[in-house]
Amino acid sequence: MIPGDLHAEVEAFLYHEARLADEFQLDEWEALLTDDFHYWVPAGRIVGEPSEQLSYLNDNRTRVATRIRQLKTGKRLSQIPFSPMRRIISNIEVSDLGDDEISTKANFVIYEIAAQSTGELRVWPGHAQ
Amino acid sequence: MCINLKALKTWGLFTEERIMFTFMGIDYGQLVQGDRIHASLLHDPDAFAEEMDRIFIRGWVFVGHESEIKLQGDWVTRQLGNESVIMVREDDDSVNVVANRCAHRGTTLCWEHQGNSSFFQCTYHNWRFGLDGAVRAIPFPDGYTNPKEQLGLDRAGQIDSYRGFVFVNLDGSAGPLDEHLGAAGYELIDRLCDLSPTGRIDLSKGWIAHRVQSNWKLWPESDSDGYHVGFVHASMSAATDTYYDEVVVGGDAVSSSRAVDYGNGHLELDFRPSYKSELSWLGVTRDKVQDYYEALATRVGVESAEEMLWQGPPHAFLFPNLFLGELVIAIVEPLGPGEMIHRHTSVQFEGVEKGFNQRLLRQTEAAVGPASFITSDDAITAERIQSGISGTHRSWAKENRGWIDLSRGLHREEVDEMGTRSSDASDETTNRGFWRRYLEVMTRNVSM
Repeated sequence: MIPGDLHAEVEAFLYHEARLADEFQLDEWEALLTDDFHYWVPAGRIVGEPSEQLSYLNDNRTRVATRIRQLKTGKRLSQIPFSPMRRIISNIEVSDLGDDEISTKANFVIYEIAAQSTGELRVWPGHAQ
Repeated sequence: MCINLKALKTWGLFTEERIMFTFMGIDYGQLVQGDRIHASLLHDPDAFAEEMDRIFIRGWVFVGHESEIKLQGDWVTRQLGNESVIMVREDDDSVNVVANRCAHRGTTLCWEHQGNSSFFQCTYHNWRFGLDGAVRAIPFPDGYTNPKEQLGLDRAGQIDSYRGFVFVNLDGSAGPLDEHLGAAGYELIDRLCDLSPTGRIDLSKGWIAHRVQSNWKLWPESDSDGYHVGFVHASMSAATDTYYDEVVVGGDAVSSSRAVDYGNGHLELDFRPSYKSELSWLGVTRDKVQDYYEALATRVGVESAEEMLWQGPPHAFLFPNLFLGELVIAIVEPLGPGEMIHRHTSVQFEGVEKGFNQRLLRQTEAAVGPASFITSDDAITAERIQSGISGTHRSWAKENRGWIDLSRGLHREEVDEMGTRSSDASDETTNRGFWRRYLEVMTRNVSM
């Protein structure tokens, strides 16, 4: 059983991270990342190791930095202007792995307005861990 | 059809000329000219319907790669214009393409993208079809008197393949594949596959769909357009070390690479003259991929291997739907006049170590798809074009409004003895080549 205060701390961290991302506070967001950060968005069914698959996104720390650098050039057409977006996070589960490590799972819904072209509202439901 | 012209005019919505244009059919010869095309062709629903018939049913189209269906019974579904088809490996190892539609009442047979089956069974009345498309079993068959041979799935009229690339012509009327591909089509596929140590590539890592709110024809244009790279992809150039800087960004690079129109709508941005080091296209030096080099040299010889490391894979488009984007393969999938999918996968080489192919996967993820460093910006550009041209009408052609200019570089285009046209890579030779083929097909493949 995870103590209530740890759960509240994780929850607060996730909300903070989501707000920085929603508001494109890129430096503050990047400052949250550790060197072994791995950012993976698989495409469809997950079969085997991430490195063996073709994914939407499979970033190590270096590639995340490049991604942010590209956004900050001021010439990234697909994010001019930045998409108005809000991440709604729910169903947060925290488990204690021992040795000062925890694992966290959550559901999310992202609302994004494609302000760069069509103006349509895009809704991206998903699960993160 | 009975139309009250007077009423339409009274409402002020249409001029008489507009109404006549709407019901007279499309004059492609008027809308596709040597140095410009009419923007209405990028959103007109009548043009779209005719393209799906004349290009995607009556012509040759790329459907998939044999490596996607290695085992007997392996199948994948594919969307070819308005038609959903199944590409399947039959019991005799041959490749078959059938309509993904029950021959009884039209129910979709396979609703997943891939699988393995020994037969296809409809979920409505349990009709069962063999991998060859022939009907195998019908519940309570004494209700039928028509011969069984009439009850099979619609089959592609012609199927042919080259080095694993499978092409179909659904209605069977298009003539042989070699007439469509021509020498250039084969050479482009060769140039890609030959880079593999075994001469074989594998495209079985799955396809990723990137939905774009644009007409499908904007992608053959964009995929083979050298003029936009320094502008649309300026953020990529600024943020990354990309070999595009040496082959297609900036005045010097664009002037040494070539925009090539081989005829039949097959196009290339030929980067070979521009590479400043071997293996630029892979982003490594030879010592990092020594095993690969040696395996390649064993098959093709040292001299050829050295040359191939410099030249790299082609950046080419095969009419109407196959993009050979160096080490990315993409299919252009029309969904409607203003909607399409750019579906891509990563080239994997046979006979290389795991890390080599993983590099190709990461390179593909960086280059294409909604989260990529490159084509995400192309998609936004295509969507901005789509909204820019969506108000144009084909009747405007006569009024000299709504044209798209494709004249760049006409004065310096060269034509060789084979009829191949080439020019500075920033010139619109490739775009003109696409539309020249489009006009040929749209005025020739007319149904009676």
